Amino acid sequence: MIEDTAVQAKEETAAESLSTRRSSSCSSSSGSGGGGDVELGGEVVGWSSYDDDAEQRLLWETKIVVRICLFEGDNGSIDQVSDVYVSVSRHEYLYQTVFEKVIPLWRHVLPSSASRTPWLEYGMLPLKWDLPCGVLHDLHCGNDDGCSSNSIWTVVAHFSNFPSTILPPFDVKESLRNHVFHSMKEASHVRMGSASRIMNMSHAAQDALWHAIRQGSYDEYAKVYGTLGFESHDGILAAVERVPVRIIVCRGAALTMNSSYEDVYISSRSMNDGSVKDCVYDIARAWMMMKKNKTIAEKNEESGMTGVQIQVGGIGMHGTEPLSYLWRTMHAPDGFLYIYVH
Amino acid sequence: MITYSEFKASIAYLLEQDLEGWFPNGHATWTWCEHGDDILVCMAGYLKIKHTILDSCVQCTEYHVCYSPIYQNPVLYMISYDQHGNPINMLDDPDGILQHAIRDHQVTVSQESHPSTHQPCLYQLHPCNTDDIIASIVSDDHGDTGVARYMLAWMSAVQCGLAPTAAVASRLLSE
Repeated sequence: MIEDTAVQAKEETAAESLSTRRSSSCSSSSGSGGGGDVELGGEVVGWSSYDDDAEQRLLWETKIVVRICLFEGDNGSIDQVSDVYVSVSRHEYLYQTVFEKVIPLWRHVLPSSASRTPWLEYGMLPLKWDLPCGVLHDLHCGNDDGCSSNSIWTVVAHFSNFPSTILPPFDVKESLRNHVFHSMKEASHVRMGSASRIMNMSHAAQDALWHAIRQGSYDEYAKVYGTLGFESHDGILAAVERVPVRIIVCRGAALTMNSSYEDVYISSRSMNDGSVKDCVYDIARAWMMMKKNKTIAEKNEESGMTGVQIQVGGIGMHGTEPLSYLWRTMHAPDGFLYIYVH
Repeated sequence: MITYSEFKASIAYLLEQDLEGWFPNGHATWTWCEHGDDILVCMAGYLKIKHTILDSCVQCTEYHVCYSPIYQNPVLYMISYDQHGNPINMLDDPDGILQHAIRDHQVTVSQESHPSTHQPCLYQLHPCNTDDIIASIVSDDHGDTGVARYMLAWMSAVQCGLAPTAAVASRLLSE
C-alpha cells in the first residue's frame, strides 16, 4: 500500500494473464477431474486438478488498485487528507481492507462525532459491503474508462449518514465474517446436502480461514479449505453435480451515475451442472423482461438476449464453459461462483 | 426440503383456514405478497404476517416467511417497529423473542436484506437446521396432506413467537 503516490496498475489484466497461462499449458487430454477439453473465453483448454489449483491461485493473486478518498464532509481537520492507494485481491472485501488498512491512517482527522463504521461510494451509489471486491468492480465499472481494469478505481469513504435504506447494518468486526461463513454454509448445503462441515469447524479453523480471506492469501485459504473434505483426499475431485451460484444481472454494462440498485438483480441459486449460458440465460432474460414490463406473450416472442455478456472473475465467457469447471477454478472464498450478466 | 410450488401451495392452504387467535395477544393480518409473474425470477413470493400488540412499547412485529432456493425450505425474516413506526433493534431486548430464541434454542440470527423487497434491516433466522427440525414433526409426505400441513409444522417449530396457540393448532390439525 502506498499513500498518495502514483501506482503502476498491473499491466496484465486478469483476462490477459489467465488467457496467457492457459495458452501455455493447453492440453487436449482429459484431466483427473474427468471430461476433456473446455472452451474458455473463446480458447480451447484442457482441465485437470492441477490446473484448478493454478487458476484459483491466479484469481486470488489478481489485484485491483483502489484509491480511497475521504469524503470532505467527514474531514474533521483543517488539513487536506491524503488519499490512500490499496492493492486488493478480487476475492478480498473492500470494506474490510478499508477498516484494517485505511482507517488507522485517518483516525487523527476523523471528527469525534464520526461513526467508526465506514461506507463506500462510487458514482453516487453506496457499494454493497457483502460483495467481493472483484464483483463490485465488475458491477460498478464495466466499460467505464475511469476505472477499467487497467486504471485505478477511485472510491469515496464516508463516516456519516450511513445509507440504512440501501445497505444492511454493518459492524466492522462481525458483519463480514458472519456473512462469509453464512454463505459458506449455504454453498456447503448446495454441494454436499448439509452445512455441517462448516458448522462443525473449530474456532481456530474459522479464525484461520477468515484471516486468509482478509489477507487475500490463497495458500492459507487452501490449507484450511482442504481440510473441510469438499474434495477427496486422493487428489480426485469430488463430482460437482450441483453448483452454488450467485447470479448478478445488470441492465446496462454496469451501474452508472444515474443508476440505482433497482437496475440490478442478485440471486443465490443451487444449479445443476451445465453450460454457463444454459444455466443463467433464462433467469437473466426473465428478469430483464420483467423490468421492461413485458407481458408473458411478449416475452415468449422475444428471440433471446442479443448483446448480453457473461463474466466470471472479470473474464468474458463464451457461454459453453461448464458450470462445474468454472466453480472449481473460480469460486469465491465464500464458496459461491459469482456470475455477472450484463 | 420442499419446492417453491409446494411452499406456495402450503401457504395458500394455511390462508384458507380460520387463523383467528393464532397469537395469544394482539391481532394479526396475513398477506401473500408476490412481485412479478415469472417463477424463475420470482421464487420471491412470501407470506407477510403483521402482528400488532396493544399497550406495549413494541407496537408491531412483521414476520416475512420467504423461500430459500438454496436450502429449499422456508426462511424467516423479522422486523419490529415502535409506536412511531421506527424499526427497533430486536437484539437489544434481553427478554425479547429473538434473544429468547438465541439463548434457549441456539438459533443463529443475522441482519440481512429482504430477498424480495431488498429492505435492508431484517433479522434472518438461519435455516440450515430446518430439515432436521421438520423431520421430527412430519413424515416425508409430499402428498396433499403433507404439503398442506408443512407450514403449520414449520411455524410451530421455528421458535420466534410464530407458533400458533394450542387451540388454533388443535383446530387446524383436526381439519
